[in-house]
Amino acid sequence: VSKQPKSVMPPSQTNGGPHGEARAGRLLRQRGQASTLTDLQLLIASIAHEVNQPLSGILTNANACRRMLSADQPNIDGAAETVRRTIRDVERAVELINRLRALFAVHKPVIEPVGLNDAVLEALALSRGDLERSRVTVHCDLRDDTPPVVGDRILLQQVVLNLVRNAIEAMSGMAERPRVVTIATWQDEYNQARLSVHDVGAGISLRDADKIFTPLYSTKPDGMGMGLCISRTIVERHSGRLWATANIGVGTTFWLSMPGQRMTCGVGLEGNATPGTNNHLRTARALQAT
Amino acid sequence: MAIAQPVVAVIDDDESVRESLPDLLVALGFIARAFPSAASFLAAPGIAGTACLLVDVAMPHMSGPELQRELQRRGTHIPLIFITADRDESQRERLIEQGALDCLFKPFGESELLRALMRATGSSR
Repeated sequence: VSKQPKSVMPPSQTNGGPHGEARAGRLLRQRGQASTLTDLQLLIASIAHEVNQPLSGILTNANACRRMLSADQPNIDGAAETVRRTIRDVERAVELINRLRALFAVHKPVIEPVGLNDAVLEALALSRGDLERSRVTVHCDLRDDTPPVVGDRILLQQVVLNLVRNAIEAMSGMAERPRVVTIATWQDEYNQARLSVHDVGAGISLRDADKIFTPLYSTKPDGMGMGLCISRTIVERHSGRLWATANIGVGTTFWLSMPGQRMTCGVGLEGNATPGTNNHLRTARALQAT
Repeated sequence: MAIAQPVVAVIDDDESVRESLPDLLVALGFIARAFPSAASFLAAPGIAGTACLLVDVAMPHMSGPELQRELQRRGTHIPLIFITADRDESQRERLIEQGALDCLFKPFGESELLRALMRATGSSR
């Protein structure tokens, strides 16, 4: 298994056309393999922007057409021209949607054993710039006996990356104490692979501890509140759990718990296990459904 | 018509906007001029006679807000309405705070456009 984080899109699929997905595609290409959940938010905004352009033309042409036809002396030639442009803009929108679909259809989840420690180290490597800029120190306590989990390496790496970014943002603008993120992995007594990400930021209230995982909820002024929601969805598709607690003292801790591979060892993904007994197969099915 | 028709300038790098919006403006009783960039508008003769500007926010070279600042620097005060495909409320508030009359999110309907234009040309007549 390659240690090198893979790009979500193979390069052949990201060669954008003259327009259409240009901005979205450019964004992906610029970020290269660092296609993260935060990028996903930007991506959604880009897609909305790209789709709104032809929609704008369609609506304006249709309004102009109606005006031209309802005038005392209907302007038939003018109206025909607006219809021609409407059709062209619809075709432009269809082409754009097709390209976006091609762009996103590529990433089929790859189910394999993934070490949480590797996911943490890769996520930290990808966040190095962010961490330095935000003057955040990372303490790691990654236990060697943490069992591997079964799932999609890139999606899990993005979950960790998003938790790290979340911790960085929770401590941004904070001057009263050193900004420290503590990341730990271990195996618990139920053979679950565990991960925690602890920050010393402003923290959350008990009331908000679950609300932060709902879509569009964000305590950050510029956040779209999707990162944690997507992270939880990914973790749950992997038969795991993701939750947050307020620290005693300051800050927040995010906790991740996923079935360890040893718990179901002996049965591979291709195995003929009976339904309900195999976390691998459940995970594989849940991911294929994405 | 007894009153001279107000001139509305459309400044947008998107060709489909420059084709469709002037047609609608003419059908609504305005005189429309379309420009592909802020620079081409600034270089055009007689811009002071423009009753209202419809300006795209994100344009290459000189953005909509940059054009607005340039016009303010020159002392040319033309009511300005931004148009943008980014549905960003905080950006909209900021642009209005900085002197824009309105900021319409693409795609915008005829009534929305007309309401903004009435405010713009009403205040200039």
